[in-house]
Amino acid sequence: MNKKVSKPLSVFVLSGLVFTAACGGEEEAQVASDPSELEGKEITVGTWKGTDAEVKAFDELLAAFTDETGIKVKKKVYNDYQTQLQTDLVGGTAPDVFYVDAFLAPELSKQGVLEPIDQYVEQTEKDLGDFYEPAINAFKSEDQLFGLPKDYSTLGLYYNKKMIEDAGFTADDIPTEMEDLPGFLKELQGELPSGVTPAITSSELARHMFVLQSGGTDIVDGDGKAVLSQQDQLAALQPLVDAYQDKLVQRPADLGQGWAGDSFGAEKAAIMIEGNWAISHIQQNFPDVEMGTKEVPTIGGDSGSMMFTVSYSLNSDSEEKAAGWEFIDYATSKDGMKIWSEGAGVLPSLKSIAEELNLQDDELKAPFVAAGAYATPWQKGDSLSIVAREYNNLLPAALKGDMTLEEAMKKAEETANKDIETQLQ
Amino acid sequence: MGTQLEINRRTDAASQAPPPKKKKGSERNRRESMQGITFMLPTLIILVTFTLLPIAYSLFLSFTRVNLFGGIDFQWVGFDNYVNAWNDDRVWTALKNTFRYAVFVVPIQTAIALLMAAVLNSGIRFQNTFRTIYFLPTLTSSSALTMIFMFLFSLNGPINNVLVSLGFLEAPVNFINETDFALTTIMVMNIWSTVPFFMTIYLAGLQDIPSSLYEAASLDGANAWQKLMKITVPNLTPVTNYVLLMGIIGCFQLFDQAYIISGGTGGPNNATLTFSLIIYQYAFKTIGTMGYASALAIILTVIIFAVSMLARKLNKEESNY
Repeated sequence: MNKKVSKPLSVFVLSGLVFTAACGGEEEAQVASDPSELEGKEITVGTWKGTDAEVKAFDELLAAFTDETGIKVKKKVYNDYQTQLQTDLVGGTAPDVFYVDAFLAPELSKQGVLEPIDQYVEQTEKDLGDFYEPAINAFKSEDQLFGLPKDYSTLGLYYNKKMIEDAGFTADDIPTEMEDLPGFLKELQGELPSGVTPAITSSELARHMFVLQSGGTDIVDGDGKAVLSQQDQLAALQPLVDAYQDKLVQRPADLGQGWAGDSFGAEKAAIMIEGNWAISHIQQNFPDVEMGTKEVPTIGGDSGSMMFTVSYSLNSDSEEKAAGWEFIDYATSKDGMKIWSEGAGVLPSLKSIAEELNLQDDELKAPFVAAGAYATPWQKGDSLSIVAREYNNLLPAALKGDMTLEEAMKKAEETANKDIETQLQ
Repeated sequence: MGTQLEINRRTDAASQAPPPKKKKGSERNRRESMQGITFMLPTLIILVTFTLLPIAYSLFLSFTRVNLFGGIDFQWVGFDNYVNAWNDDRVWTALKNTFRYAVFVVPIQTAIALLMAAVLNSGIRFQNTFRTIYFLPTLTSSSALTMIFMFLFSLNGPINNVLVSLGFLEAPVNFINETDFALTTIMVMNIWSTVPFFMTIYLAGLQDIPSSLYEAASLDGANAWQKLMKITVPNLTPVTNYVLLMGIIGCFQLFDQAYIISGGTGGPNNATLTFSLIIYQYAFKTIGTMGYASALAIILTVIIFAVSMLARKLNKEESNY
């Protein structure tokens, strides 16, 4: 952050400190003035179990942190993260620091279970400018920061090199503008062996939010109500529905797979739009498939993609906030971030580490790193879970032609808004 | 002592309140009942803590809008949650799905279980081996079963391959992801996995039917079908009641299969949205709707209770032995 912002902010924070101290000091940031006094403390960190590489990298990160600070860390691994974390939070047994999916951040911060970390950032003079902006913005709510991103993922376009070449095209023929994509897929369709779909993508709001918002209308309005059926939104989505009905684009379920990565790996589709997590999945499980990646084609000339990010957040009920903050600080520092992103093969949320690891030159990862600058975070207030539920429920009806897109989206919007009205407001 | 008697008299004259005894006798009575209570205490504590309190608590929650996070705060909303449930289309869809599911699954699984039990009890060869094999599905966890069934019924799975190669289908059907088939797939799966359990219960019930009844029927010239319908079925009515009851409760509480197949959304297009799933969604997927989830849970309890009683009544009236 630049100095201009930080000075008034620190005055504000200081006055806030004095004020809260006078009222019993409950919300005071508990940063240790001398880090060595935290030595020997133990904190719990809540995570979900990732890939083997992630588990190994996380253990390395914890070991490095303990070496550095003398604070011991106990892992608490969730199998069903959302349900178990909620139960733990209600029961008062939640870890001191835990993963928060950006998607859940607004709901959780509204419940007051996440500690705002602005004061901690301020007091340890942590540099937030190095974070990718969409990633850190995903954890901001009402001008407060509720966590720091541990890494991020974006969407990109994958293509099967051999299939594209066998069909008589090169990678450069794949359009860079969404408007040209259906035409290209149509040409491709004629050249592909039977049983192979030109393109595959999951049809859910988490993948489509940036498309719906490409015309300038947000999917949720200021009151948290769903907005899904505006003309510009329908116009942005209609090409997908048309392409689906022409069998140019299919969903993994239509091909009998659980997710697009498996369909692509099984060579059922030549092109897919997926997150960067598919890279290691395909390399491990389908080593014979030669793939290439590109950025998601632009819509109306604007680059777009989705960003999925997860933070380390501080439990507002924690008794070891100072030690917890030390952990967050270390894990999102250059040292910690390097251990984690190098070991786990994920995209670091710090620009400097992405540069240090030369990810912008990485043949496969470069398009996903580039998207870090412009992608739309998968986060939209505390009503998003309901909006997404109805969208995902009704979009298939439009894809299959049971309803027109407008009917389906109107129904999704209505159902969601009724639910939001009765349940959340 | 006097007040105790007064209370006894006042609460219920007909409840055979023990007549005032001599002091010695009542002392002994009390010691005996203290003993009884001590023996029951562990069970009572567990029952109260883990069953009765949660039920009472969720009944209470169902009348509130509640936030369980950090410093619980309740807001009494009366019957709002119930009114909202009445006006909620998704609740009706879930109810319709659940009813459709129960109407198909309960009679079919009961009939198959009874038939299989009768066959396995008829003295055919290797009947113990068959009993063991048939019982295996019950021992497997239902989530593992769901995964196996998802494979069997998947687009490239064995069921589709067999049906296509035999010419029953022109193209493979997407049993799991098509709106029209998803619930049916779960039905087949559930019948397959619950039949063995009920079969075992029927087998136990069959041991209680005296063989003299069958011998007498044979002398009168009854065939196997007549024996089944006139002797076995009526004699098993109490067992059937139990099987129906457990079947209905199981069906209305259908959760894991629907959850796994739809990934928790109840899709495609609400096809696998069951009542338990909707409760789960409001309890854990959206934050701050625990009160509504509790109200739905109470409604489900009432529905299960009513349907079970109805089934029991119908079954009793039909039986005449």
